[in-house]
Parts: sequence; C-alpha cells; structure tokens
Amino acid sequence: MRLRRIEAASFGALSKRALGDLGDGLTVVLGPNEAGKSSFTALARYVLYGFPTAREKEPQFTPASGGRAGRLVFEEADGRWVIERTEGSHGGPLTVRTIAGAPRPGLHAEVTAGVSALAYKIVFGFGLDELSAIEAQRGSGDDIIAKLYAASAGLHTSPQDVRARLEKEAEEYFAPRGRSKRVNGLLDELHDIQVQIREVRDEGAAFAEDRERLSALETRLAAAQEARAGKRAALAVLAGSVSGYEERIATVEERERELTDLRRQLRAAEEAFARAVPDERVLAAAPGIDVLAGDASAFGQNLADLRAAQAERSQAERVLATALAETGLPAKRALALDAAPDLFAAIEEARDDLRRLEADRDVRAREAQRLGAVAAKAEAAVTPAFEPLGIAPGPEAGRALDALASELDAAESRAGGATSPRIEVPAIVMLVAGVASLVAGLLLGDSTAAFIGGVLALAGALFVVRGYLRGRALPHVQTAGSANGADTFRRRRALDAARSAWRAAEDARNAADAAASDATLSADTLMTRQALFAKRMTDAGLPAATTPAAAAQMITLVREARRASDDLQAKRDAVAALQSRVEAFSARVAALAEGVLGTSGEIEPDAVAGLVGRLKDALAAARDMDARRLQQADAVRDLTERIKAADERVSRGKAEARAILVERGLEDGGSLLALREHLALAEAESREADAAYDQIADERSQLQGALDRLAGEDRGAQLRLSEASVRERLGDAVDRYLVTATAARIVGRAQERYERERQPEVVKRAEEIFRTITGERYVGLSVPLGSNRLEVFDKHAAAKASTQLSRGTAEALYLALRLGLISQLDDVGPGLPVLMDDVLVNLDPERRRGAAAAVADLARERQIVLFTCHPDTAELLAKIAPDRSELTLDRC
Amino acid sequence: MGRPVRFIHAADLHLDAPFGGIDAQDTRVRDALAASTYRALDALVATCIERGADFLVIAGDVYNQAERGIRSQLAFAKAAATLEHAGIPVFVTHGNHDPASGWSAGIAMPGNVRVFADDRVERFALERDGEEYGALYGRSYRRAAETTNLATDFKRETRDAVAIGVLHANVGGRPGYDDYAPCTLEDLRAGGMDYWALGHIHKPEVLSRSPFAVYAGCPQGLDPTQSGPRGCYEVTIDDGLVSATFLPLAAVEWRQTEVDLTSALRLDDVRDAIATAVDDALASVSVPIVLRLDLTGRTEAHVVLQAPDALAALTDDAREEALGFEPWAWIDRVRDRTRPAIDLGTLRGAEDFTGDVVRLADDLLGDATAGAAFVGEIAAALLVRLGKDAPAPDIADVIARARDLALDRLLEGDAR
Repeated sequence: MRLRRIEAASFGALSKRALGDLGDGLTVVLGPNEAGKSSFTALARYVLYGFPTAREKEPQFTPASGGRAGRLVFEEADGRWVIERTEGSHGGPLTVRTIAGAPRPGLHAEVTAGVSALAYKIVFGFGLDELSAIEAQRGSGDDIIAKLYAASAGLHTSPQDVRARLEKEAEEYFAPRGRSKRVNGLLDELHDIQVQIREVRDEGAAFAEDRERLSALETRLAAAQEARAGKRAALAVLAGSVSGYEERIATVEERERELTDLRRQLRAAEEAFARAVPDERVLAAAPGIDVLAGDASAFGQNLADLRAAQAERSQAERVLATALAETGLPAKRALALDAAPDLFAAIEEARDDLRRLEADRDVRAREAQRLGAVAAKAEAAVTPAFEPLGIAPGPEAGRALDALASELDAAESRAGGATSPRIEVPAIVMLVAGVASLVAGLLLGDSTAAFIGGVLALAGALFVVRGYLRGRALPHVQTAGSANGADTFRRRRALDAARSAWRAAEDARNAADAAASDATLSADTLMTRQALFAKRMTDAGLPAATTPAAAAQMITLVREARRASDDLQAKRDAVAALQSRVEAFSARVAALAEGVLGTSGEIEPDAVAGLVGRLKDALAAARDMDARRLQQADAVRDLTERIKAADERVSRGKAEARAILVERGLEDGGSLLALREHLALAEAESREADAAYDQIADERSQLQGALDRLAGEDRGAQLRLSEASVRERLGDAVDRYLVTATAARIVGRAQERYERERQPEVVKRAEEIFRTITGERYVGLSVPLGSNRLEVFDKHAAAKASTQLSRGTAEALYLALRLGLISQLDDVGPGLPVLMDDVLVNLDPERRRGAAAAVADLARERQIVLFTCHPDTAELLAKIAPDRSELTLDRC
Repeated sequence: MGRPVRFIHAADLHLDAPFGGIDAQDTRVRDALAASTYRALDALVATCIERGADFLVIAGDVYNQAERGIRSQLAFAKAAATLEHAGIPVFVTHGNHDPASGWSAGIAMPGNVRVFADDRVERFALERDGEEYGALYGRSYRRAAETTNLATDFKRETRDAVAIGVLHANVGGRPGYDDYAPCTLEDLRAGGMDYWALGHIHKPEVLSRSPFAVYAGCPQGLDPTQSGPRGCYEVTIDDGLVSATFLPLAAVEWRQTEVDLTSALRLDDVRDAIATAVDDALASVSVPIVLRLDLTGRTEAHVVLQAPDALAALTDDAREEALGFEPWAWIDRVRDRTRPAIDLGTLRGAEDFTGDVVRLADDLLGDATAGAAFVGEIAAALLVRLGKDAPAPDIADVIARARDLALDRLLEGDAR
C-alpha cells in the first residue's frame, strides 16, 4: 500500500492543491518556505487521525473560508482508494471511497493499524519540532521508546507497559507502603467482625450466670410484688378512711345547710297557710255555679237561636203578605181556596184537551173547505164531458151512460163477427213442426223424435181447430158498414171520458161532504169541553170564564201563600220555645247571683253571660284559695318531717366521722389534718414499694430480653459467616496480589535479562544508523527500559546522555531512533508513509549525508516523503538515491 | 426379641458451627447457612419419627464447640423434647468438639436424653414393653484432645441380644481429621458389637460390614470440602442381621466442580460452561447448594478471563441466575485455573522475550528455594501485614500462574 497523493481541498493556505504522485520509495519534495510543506505533512496526519479542535495545542491550518477538508489517495497493485475527511465533530467525518478495484471500507483501520495519533506524529510525520518529542514522551502512556522495545522484542505490546500494568493491578490489592488497598480494607473488616464475634461469645459465656441472676430476680420480684400489694392495700384502706371522713364531714355540713334552708321554708309555708282563707259562701254555691257554668254555653246558643228565629219570623210574615197580594184575593178566601192536587191536574188536563180540540177543529174546517172546492171543480168538469154524448148531467146521467155503453158494446160485437174464423199462427207452426218431427222420426227410426213430433202435431192440430171453432161462434154486430166503425169508436171514447168525469165528480162531492161533517163534529166537541171546564172552575170557587192558564197560575199563587203561612206559623212556634228557655235560664242565674253576688231583680238575657262569668270567677278564686291552703298545709307537714330526718342524718354523720377517727387511733383531738398526715405517710411507703418493684421488674425484663435474644438470635453464626466471607475475599486478594505482583516481577526480571543478554534489534539498528550519521564518532547507543535516560557511547566507550549532546547530534540521535524503530515495525502502520519535514537542516554536511543515506536505505522498505527547502539536500538525495522521485512545490 | 430393632445413627451435628471458606454475600444464602445445622437437626428429628425409630444415637459432636452455644443447646433440648413426645430415646456421646468438661448453659435436657459417661464405657439397656432386648455401649470425651484408644474398653455382655457401640473416634488414623480416640477396626471387632455407631469423620462411610462399623458423617456439610450428600443412617438389626441405609438430611449441600474450558474461545463460552455446570449440580439434588467451580483447561478463553473484573462480572451474572433457580444455587467461588492456549514448549525454545519469561519461570519452579525466595520477597510485606491471618502461599502455583499471566499480557497486545 502506497500513498500516491495528498490533496488539500481547503486547508490553511492550501486550496484545491495536490501533492503527487508520490513514489513507492523515497520522494523528495523540494519547495521554498511557505510552499505548503508543513501543511501537507500536517494534512496527511489530520486526514488520518482527525482535525484538531481549537482547544487542542495543534496548528489549526484554518482556511480563509469554509471548513478544513483533504484527502489521501492510496494505491496498491489491484486498486486505488481515497481516504477523505472533512471538518466536523470528533475530528470530522471520514470517508473511504474506491477509485478502482474492490471496495475496502476498512482501509483506514488497515493503514493505521497499531499506530496512535501521537505515535504517528512523532514517528511517521514529523518535523524538527517533533524530533525531540520521542524522548519527551518517555514514561507516558504512549512511550515511543517502549513501543520501539516491544517491536524489537517481537511483541505487539511493550513489556514495560505490561509490567507497569501488572504492578498497578497488584497495587490495587496491596501496596507495601500504600493505604486503603483491598487487603488492608479486608483486614480492617475482618478485625471488626472478630471483635463482634468476641462480644457475642462473651455474651454467651454470661448466659448461665444471667440465668441464675434471672432466677434470683424473679424471687425478689415476687417479694417486691407482695410488699407492693401490702402497701397498696394499706394505702387503699387509709385513703378510704380519709375519703370516708371527708365525705362524712362534707355530708354533715351539707345537711346542716339543708336543715337551715328547710326551717326557713317551714316558716314561709306556715305564713302562707295562715293567709290562705277561701270564700265559704261561694264554695257552698259551687255545685249550682258549676251547673250554671255547664249550661251557660247552651244558654248562649239558645239566645243566639232566639235572635235568629225572631228574624226569620219577620221575614216569613213579609213573604206571606207578598204571596197573598199576588193572588189578588182576600187573605181569608185565598187561604180557603181549594188548591188540591186533583184540581190542578184537572186544570192541566183541560188545558191540554182544549188546545188539542181547538187545533182539530181548525184543521177539519180547513179540510172541509178545501174538499168542497175540489168537488165544485170536479162537478164543473162533468158538463163538458157529457156534451159529446148529448147527455145532460143530472141524477139520470148514470143510467144514460150505462145505456150508451151497452149500445156501443153491441155495435162493436157485430163489427167483429163479419171476419173469417181466426186460426192462430203458432198453432199452425206447432202443427207443421210436429208433423215434420214425426215424419223425420219415422224416417230416421228415432222413436223419441217421432213421439215428440206426434205430440206437437196433435197439439198444433187441436189449437187450429179451436181457433176455427171460436171464430164461427161469435155474434156479429153488424154496424152500418165499415163507415160506422169509426163513429162507434169516437163515441166509445167520449163515453169513457164522460164516465170518468162523472165518477170523479161523485168521489169529490162525497169527500167534501164527509169533511164538512167532521168539521162540524169537531166544533161541537170543543164547545162541550169548554163548558165542562167552566163548570169545574165554578165548582172550585173560581170564575167560570177562568182559562186553564189563569186557573193554574192562581192555584200556584195560592199554594205559595199557604206555604208562607205555614212557615210563618212554624217560626212563631220556634221563637216562643226559645223565648221560654232563655227566660228560664235567666231566672236561674238571677236567683243564684242574688244569693252569691247580692244582685236583685230580673236580668236581661244579654246580661246573663256576664253574670255567669262573675259567678265562675268567684268560684275559681274561692277554690284556688282553698287549694293553696291545702297545699301549704301539706308543705308544712312535709317540711316538718324533713327537718326531723335531716337532724337525724347530721347526728349520724358526726357519729360516723368520729368513728373513723377513733378507728385510726385519733379519738382524742383527732382531725382531718392528722388523718391526712397518716395518708401521706402511707402514700410515700406505697410509692417506695412500687419503685422497688419496678426496678426489679425492669432489671428482670432486660435480663430476660437479653437471654431471649441470645437464645434466639443467629448473630454469632451470621458473624462467623461474615468472617468466613471476608477471609475468602482476603485469600483471593492475597492470591491475586501474589500472582499479579509475581507476574510483574517476572516480566521485570525478563526485561533485565533481555536487556542484558539481548540488545534490542531496534536499538541495534538505531545504533547503526546513528553510527553512520555521525561518521563513527558515536558507536554505541543505550536505551534502558524503565529509565528516562538515552545514552550514547563514543569510540572510547564514554557515555553521554542525550541532554549533553549538541542540537545537531541530538537530532541525529532522534532521527536514528525513528529510522531504527520504523525499520522494525513491519506490520505496524503498514500503509503509513513517513513524512519528514526538513529534518536534516541542522546537520552538518557529513552527518546530513549519513542521514540521507539512512533515509534512502529505509525508503527501500517503507515509503518516505522528505520535504526540504534546500536544493542541496535534494541534490544530495538524488545522488544517494537515484531512483527517488522528486516533486517541487511552488510558494502558495 | 420380637420385631427388628430400628434406630437412627447420626453424628457430628456441629450445631451452630461456623462456616469456613465461603464468601456468602447474599442474605438468603447467609441465612440458609446460618440455619442449616438446625434445619438438619429438624430433619433428623422428623426422620426418626417418620421411620418409627426405636431410638436415636448421636456419636459425638452435637455441638460445634466446647462452649456450647445457647441457641444450639436450646435447639437440641427442643429436638429431644419432640422425640420424647414421640417416645424415642436419644443416646448421646460427647466428642472432641463438645467434651463433657465443656461449658454448659445449664439448660436441662428432657428425660429421654441419655449421655454416656466420660470415665468409662457405659451400658444403657434397651427395653421394649418392659423387657430388655439389647444394650448400647458408649463413652464420652472428657476433654477435647482425647488421644487414648477408647475402643478397647467396649465389651459386649453375653446377655445382649443386640449390642451397639457408640464412639467418637478416628478409626485407622484418617488423614485430615484430628487423631482422637485412635483405634483400629480390629479394636472394634474385639468389642463384639453388632453395630458400631461412629462419629468424628464427616463423610458418611461404611467402614466394615462384619461387624458393621459406620461413620454417619455430619448431617450438614460445614465447609466447601464437605461436599456431597450428608445425613444419617437408618439401621435395622433383625435377628442378628444388620442393614444400614443412608438418609440425606442436609439443608444445604456443598459441591465442587471442575469446568473444562478447553474448547471455549470467548467469554460467552465460559458463561455457557458455568451455566451447564450449575445445571448439572442442581440436577442431582433437591436442596439448595453452595457450588465452587474451578475453570480448567488450556484454552483460548484464558486470555479474556485475565481482563480485570471479567471473571468477577461473569461470576456475578451466574450467581444472580443460579439464585433464581428452585432450589437455588450459590456459586461461592469461580476460580480461574485455566492455562493460556500457548505452547510453552515452543516459547521455551524461542530466543526472544517470551522465551526469557518461560525460562525464568522454569528456573524458579525448578529451584524451590529460589522460587520461595522470589515469591517470599514479593509477599513479605503482605505477610507481615496479614500477621496470624497470613496464608501459606503455594509457591509453585503462584509462579506458574504468574508466568501464564505475564505471557497472556505480553502476547495479547494488552498495552493498548
């Protein structure tokens, strides 16, 4: 894999500039200052490892406009690829594109395999500034020398790194002079657990002793409990005595106060009794007053009823007068008039009959008149109808008509007999058909048809004969010939008309006569009925000309007058009854009031109620006074008894209080105060007994709890498990420490042996290169691992530290180390070219030649791009490596 | 004699024993372990009752220490009371962990508990329905370090239809156990017992079938070395014919397994192998287990296992998963004993840095003194710091693993 081109899309002063094509081996790029040599060197690194952020201490190469962007074109025999990066977060996004050949998306990782950004900067792409960094990085995480060593030892990793890491890991477990490491922590934890285990063990050891203590405590507790009970009982008795004494004294005092009050009440009651004297006269009349009071309400009602009845009576009198006036009759006659119901019914019946008869009379009169007109009209029509016949209407007209009719009948008969006998056509048809059917039946042999034909023929023959015979039998009315036939006919017609008119006139006259007869009868009936009604009125005392309507009205008025009269009488009776009752009650009241209240004389009914009220009030007052007197008498009696009982209780209380004192031995001069002193003493003793009991009980409870806990807990087992756990972890930590630390020590020993017995190839190669560059002035190089020393040796084996070398010699040394290292890298960064930026500038000509030779030599193994602004350096390399490629850069 | 004699033979209950060699960080595991010896005792009592045992024999070390824990004494008293209620006598000898001279909390044992004398072989007659049908012979330790042969004092009486010897002893000088009450099988045979109920050795084992001499083992394994089933023996003696059946009692079993990672390439392969090992271990048990795994084999996965905290993270994951099983498994430790997939022989012949490393390690491994000095120099400050808690490192193991670690790092390209 070879880098062919470095293309700057936008990078510092470079814009759309490319460097290439680069050769397989050494490419010398000659360009003046500011031609972009450093920019291309940096761009290659940034494309591979990312653009630095502004915070990083790296040259930024910020373009005038836009973001940084560049790409590297790599080539191999089977293809060509581009690694491209644009500015962005995390160094900027990277793209691998294929120009030719198979896609290689992992190309970037392949190219940079095993080379960090820092390693690249120091070893692969460096200028004068980075030359000394190879030594400055020693001891850091990216110790280039260590990598150099690893590479030389055939390892991908540095033994130095391995040892350091192992030592660090070992120190995680234990550091001889360290603190807070795992072993120490575990030992501390173990110690804590062991202390706790000892505590648990000590607790267990005291178990039997504690059990004995517990037993003794329980005995003491029982005794204390008994003592406490005794003290409490004594205290309770004494407290009972004190409270009993106090209670009794208090009761006595209360009773004495009560006694005083009772006596005061007694005096008051006696005085009230003396004052309470009732009115004996009133009390004596009490039954009568009570009765009056009981009847008073009835009296009031009677009085009200009387007033109402009197009013109603007046009203009835007015109604009667009005009713009588309306009859128009004198009162006596009106009230004596027969107004029985049958009269009224007769009047009603007569009124209806008369109305009906009058109507019938009128109808019939009108009908007779109408039918008379009809008859006159019909009779008028007879004369014209008789005229054609020459007959005069009259009583004989009928017979004349009948005679004419007979005449005409005879004439018509004669005219009919002059014609030949009439043979009916149907009979002939029947005969012919019957004969035909008979013949056909005979011819065809159909007996049924022949029979029917025979029957028809016979029947037809019979009808024909009959017709003939009838024609011959009729008489002939021989008129004057055919000319007389029409006249007969006209006369016939006139006759029929005359007869019809005659009959109609007769019928109309008969009807008119009948109607006239009915009208007359109807008028007579009406008059008869009217006469009968007049007689009835007369019988009832009314005028004969009184009409049914007037009679009916009179009867109604009379009736109403009679009812008013009856009502008036009833009212008068009611008033009289009520008047009687009111007067009787008033008399009773007046009599009683005279005896009780001292009134005299009659009293008006309206005053009765007030008088009754006064009687009642007087009675109530008398009774109230009497009741109060009785009540006071009871109170006096009751208070007298209560005073007596209270006297006894006071005496008894005092005796009991004295008994209590005597019981407590305080009979002489004993008092509540002395009793209370005894109680205070007992309370103190009881408290002491309680405290003693509580103390023992508490001690016992604690001990019991401790023993129960010891009996039930598995803290000891848990602690021992914890101890085992810590010991396991401790053993593991010790084991890990020993193995890891021993591994580190083995690596260290191996390093020592390796350095001692096998000079690293890298260092050997660097030494050769350094010897070549310095023209054998320096023949030896030492790069001891684990130290920060770089030493060179001259021909005389005199050692010089790198810091003692001149700048040019030191740069030659650093270059030699790089070249030596790169020569041994083989698979490390296989696609990475080495980009050197004027690193030979400080070397004298002789050493520059040697360095150029070393570079050219290395270029046979790895692609190298050497930038220089010195044409003589380019010429030198052209001489040493004729096969090199050479490119030129113009100033930007 | 009538019906056969059936009894339960247990030993080494070690109640309240401290559990060593385990890093039980999970509370559930800690609680289970702390309670495990008591749960085993509960199981023992239940077994006696379920099996209708005539009696229970405990051949020493009921308690773990001379200073018998209060909780353990109370627990044993309660267990004995349960058996008394069931009509089952309990015959007990003191062992080296709970000698007769040890401290007692003064907790009285129920009347069914008979403790053998510590000054002689004591005979307890076995009775059924008021009729003697055999005897138990036993002797307790007076002190912890009982170094005399106690077996020789056991003599069966001729009247015994059944004779059972009860002794806490190291028969045949078993390594790994204190040589207390040392005796031989011949000594036991001379006693004429039908059955020797032995204690002291924690692994259940039938030493002899003529006569029957049996170590019941401990009902509950007490540390990772006591792996496998633990329990008691149900013994039946029928007309002189003895049979003994092991009955598991452990509440938690210990397991140690090697996980061969030879074919493992990545960390995922290691995870799968660990999961398989856990599954295999759980397949054979019905109780929770504490599991120790040693990853072995020359494997490509060795390199990834060397990454800091890689194995710890792997172990944590596997632990979390295993604790979710029912019964659960606690992966106590996963030890990396793999070796790098490096041909040491080739490296040893190479004239380069790694060759120097291998040869340097070879030199140290070949010269024990030099190796001890080499490691001792590294460990000196640490051992001083550890004081009495300092372990004795396995020099060769440390050097070999250090060599492998160094080669891993050097060849891996670890210096990133």
